[in-house]
Amino acid sequence: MIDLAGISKTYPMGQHRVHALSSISLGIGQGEFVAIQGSSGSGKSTLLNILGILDTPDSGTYTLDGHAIENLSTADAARYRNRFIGFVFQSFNLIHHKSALENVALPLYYQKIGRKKRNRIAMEYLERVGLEERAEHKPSELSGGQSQRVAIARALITEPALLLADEPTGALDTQTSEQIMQIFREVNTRGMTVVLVTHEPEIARQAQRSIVLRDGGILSDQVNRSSLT
Amino acid sequence: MIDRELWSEVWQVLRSNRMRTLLTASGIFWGVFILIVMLGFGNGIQSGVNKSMAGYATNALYLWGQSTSKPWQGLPPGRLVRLNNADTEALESAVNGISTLAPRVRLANYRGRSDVVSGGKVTDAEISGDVPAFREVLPMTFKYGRFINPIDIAEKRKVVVIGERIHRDLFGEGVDPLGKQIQIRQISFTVVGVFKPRRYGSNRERMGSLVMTPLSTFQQVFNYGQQIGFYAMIPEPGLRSEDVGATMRQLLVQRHRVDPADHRAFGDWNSETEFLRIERLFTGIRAFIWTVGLATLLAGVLGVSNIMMIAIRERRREFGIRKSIGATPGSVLTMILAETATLVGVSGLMGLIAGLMALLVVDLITRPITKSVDAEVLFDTPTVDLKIALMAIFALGIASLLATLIPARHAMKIDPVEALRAE
Repeated sequence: MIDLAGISKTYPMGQHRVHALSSISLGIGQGEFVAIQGSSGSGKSTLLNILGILDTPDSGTYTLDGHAIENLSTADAARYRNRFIGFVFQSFNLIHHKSALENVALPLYYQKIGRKKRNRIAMEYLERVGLEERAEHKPSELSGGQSQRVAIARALITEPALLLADEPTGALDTQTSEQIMQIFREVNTRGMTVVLVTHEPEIARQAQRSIVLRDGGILSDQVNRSSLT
Repeated sequence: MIDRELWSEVWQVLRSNRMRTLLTASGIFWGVFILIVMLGFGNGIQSGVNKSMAGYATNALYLWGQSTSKPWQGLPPGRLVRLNNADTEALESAVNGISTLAPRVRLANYRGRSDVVSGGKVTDAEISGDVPAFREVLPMTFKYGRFINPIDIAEKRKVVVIGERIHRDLFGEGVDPLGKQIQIRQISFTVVGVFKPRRYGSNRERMGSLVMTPLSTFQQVFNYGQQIGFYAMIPEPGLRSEDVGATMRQLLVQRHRVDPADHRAFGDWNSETEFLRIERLFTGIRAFIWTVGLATLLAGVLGVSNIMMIAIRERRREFGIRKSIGATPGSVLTMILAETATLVGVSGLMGLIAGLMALLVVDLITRPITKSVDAEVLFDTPTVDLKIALMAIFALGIASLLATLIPARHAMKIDPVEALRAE
């Protein structure tokens, strides 16, 4: 599903270049639920951005679902993101002037699907996250948990091969976090590959596999026994 | 281009920030409104002036003899130069480029009046001796009868063509005056026509007070001999009346033994030069109007560019989100340009409509004054060439799109990672 080989990435920092990632190789199989952990500056966000084709590595190869992700034009990168990847962010990143339904439907707009059809599909996905009654509400009228569920519905609507979540529960209380994680587990059970970045060990424990980064390298990569039971 | 999805997306964005949309739109609205109103007023003044100048041919030259100011070939200065019938023949045969040559002679001085009498009624009139060709100089239509014809000239018939006011005062409106007699200096003339200038312009009273007799008759009965008062001349198409007038002068200078350098021996007046001067004035006024109008529009365009720049900065996050879920840079650019086009197009058209409505109101208010018969105001119905107005709006749209291109390109290049990181 995902195959990273020798991925490196440096950022200029003043006169020096900082190694965000140094020669990371990693394979993630179809249907896996992976948590990426690490303190700030460990390179986890950079890794996520590379996985999400938002950023390009300085060296190394990235293969996603059999497609080599390299030398993409910005337009092609956008199309790949639209087709293969669903994003969930810590700060939800809903568009404030659109209703929940329109937010969920937006990725289909970029697939040139007509308004009626995309709104119908978006409604199905809102039902899946239990928010069909909030469809017409603006993001400002939704709670944090509801906003994140809308964001998840938006990430899922294109039926992507890979769901990427960046601290999805970082802004939520424990109870709401639990609901969100429940949705991730469900989605994963249906066969979707989920990669989640978190710094919270209790969230990471709910994934099948836990990767810990430190200083741009992989510190540990292990299967969570607890999640298998 | 007609993509309903894109427009509904654009509409939603514009509606989501009403204040910003309104402010941007009002800049464009005002620019177009002011341009339209100014163009309308410019045209109104121009057609008002044209109306007041109307009547005589616009390219006519008038030439008359004065008195010499320099000695020549032993002749002393201060000699009166009198034009005569022989001059007319010489001019007609020797000067090229004359389309119409109308010799005229008047009973009194320039614009002087004499009494005309009919059936015990008296009024004052401007009496002249004319030839049929004068019709080319003063285009006219006839309420009754006809103009002076060549037979009148050849037979020296005692006939007159009278203006509308003379007709009204001596015979009364609606009374057919043809065949009736009028007396000028106790000499009877038969009325053969009542004329009406094709356009009165501002000197309606004077035009209505003209009484024209055949030149030959006039010279005989009023003892003018062979004397001509002045020439009215229209050059052939494509020639300037000034140039043909100079050739005429050259010939007359020889015939009357005048120093060619003596500029005071002949006088002339040239409606073409006058007309061109007014034309130039209007070219200046138009240039001024367009300069101010376009500057106002440019301010509107810069306003659009500015506000779009701010809007795009404010919406960095939104563009980041859109890009992360699959918006291509091209689609971001298209969306921003579509927003600008919609904003400028709609507010431009509204400015156009409001401008036209303002002109309509001005017209309705000024109509009683400008359309009245003896109107002396230099203003007429303000009009705007709609094609020019729409072209101005189109150019405005293009300019706005170009001005938006810079911030839009910036939006295209927004890095979603950067845009989404900022919290």
